[in-house]
Amino acid sequence: MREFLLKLLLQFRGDKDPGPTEQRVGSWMLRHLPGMLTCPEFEEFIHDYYEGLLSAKVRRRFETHMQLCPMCQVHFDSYVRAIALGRQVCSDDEQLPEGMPQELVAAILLARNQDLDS
Amino acid sequence: MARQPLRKVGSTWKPPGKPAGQAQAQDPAGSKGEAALVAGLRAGDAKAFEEVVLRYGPRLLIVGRRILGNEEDARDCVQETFLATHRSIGEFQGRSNLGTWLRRIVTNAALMKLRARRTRPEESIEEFLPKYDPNLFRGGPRNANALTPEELLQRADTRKLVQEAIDRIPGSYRTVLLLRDFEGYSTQETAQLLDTTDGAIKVRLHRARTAMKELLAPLFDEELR
Repeated sequence: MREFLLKLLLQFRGDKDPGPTEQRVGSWMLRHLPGMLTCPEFEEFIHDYYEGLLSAKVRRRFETHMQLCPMCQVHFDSYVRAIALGRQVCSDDEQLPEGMPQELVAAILLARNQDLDS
Repeated sequence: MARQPLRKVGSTWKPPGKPAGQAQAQDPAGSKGEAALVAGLRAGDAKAFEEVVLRYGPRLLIVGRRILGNEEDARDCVQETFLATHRSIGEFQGRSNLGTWLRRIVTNAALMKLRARRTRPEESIEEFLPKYDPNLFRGGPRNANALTPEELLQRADTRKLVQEAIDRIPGSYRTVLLLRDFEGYSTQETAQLLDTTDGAIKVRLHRARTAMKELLAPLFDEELR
């Protein structure tokens, strides 16, 4: 029943955006069909889904929820993009052709010499 | 109001690999150059020590700045790291490359400074966590733009927004995000560095990522194109 309704809904929707009726059907399915994750449950699995740690069974439930819940789809999509942006910005920082401040180099070399003398 | 185009969930999503150029950074000198430098350090060669400082120092300074958010403390950390290197090069067994070894030392030094500095309770992360209605449905937007991270980075203000978002994440969460996602340490390594459990790291990491996503919400707004 669950698989049938889901297939029907997704076929009907195709590649177009979900309209209000489809969103209502989706939220009805999430509330009433057995085995569906709630949004808080979906939230708990995000980390493991992102890291590829979910079992196939839980992954299917996670993905079904995302197909039916536009808010969670937007949330997860933004979550993934935020991580990618953070990584990119931090990684780019490392490419800056910035050298070592001269006074810091001098302080380090002095500290080493003092350590050798002591 | 244009809606976010639907994607086939799961068919295109792949778990990410390690971030490039981070904890497992390549040795910029190549393995031969590194071997010669390590030999020089072991022999007490001042020139080799200076070359190591000049070659690896800038990256270590960036790590220190990221964790501590303070130039003076970051410089202190880098100085401590090179002094520790001078004293304990005998302990370097070559299981990782020199850059990775130095990076771990500076990370530890920065985390020690951070622990010593934390005297007041940190801000709550609750305001950034998801809210649900009485039917347990998530609040928040139903639509977003479909701009890729690369497209978003073309915008003049994106980098500043991302940096500000990272800086606004409460301290203990930000540290986990920096180590795990941006420095490339594994969950287990991050747990060891912070003296906590893998489970605690996963929870903090997820909350930190969620907070960053909330703070970057203007970038994902469907009106932004």
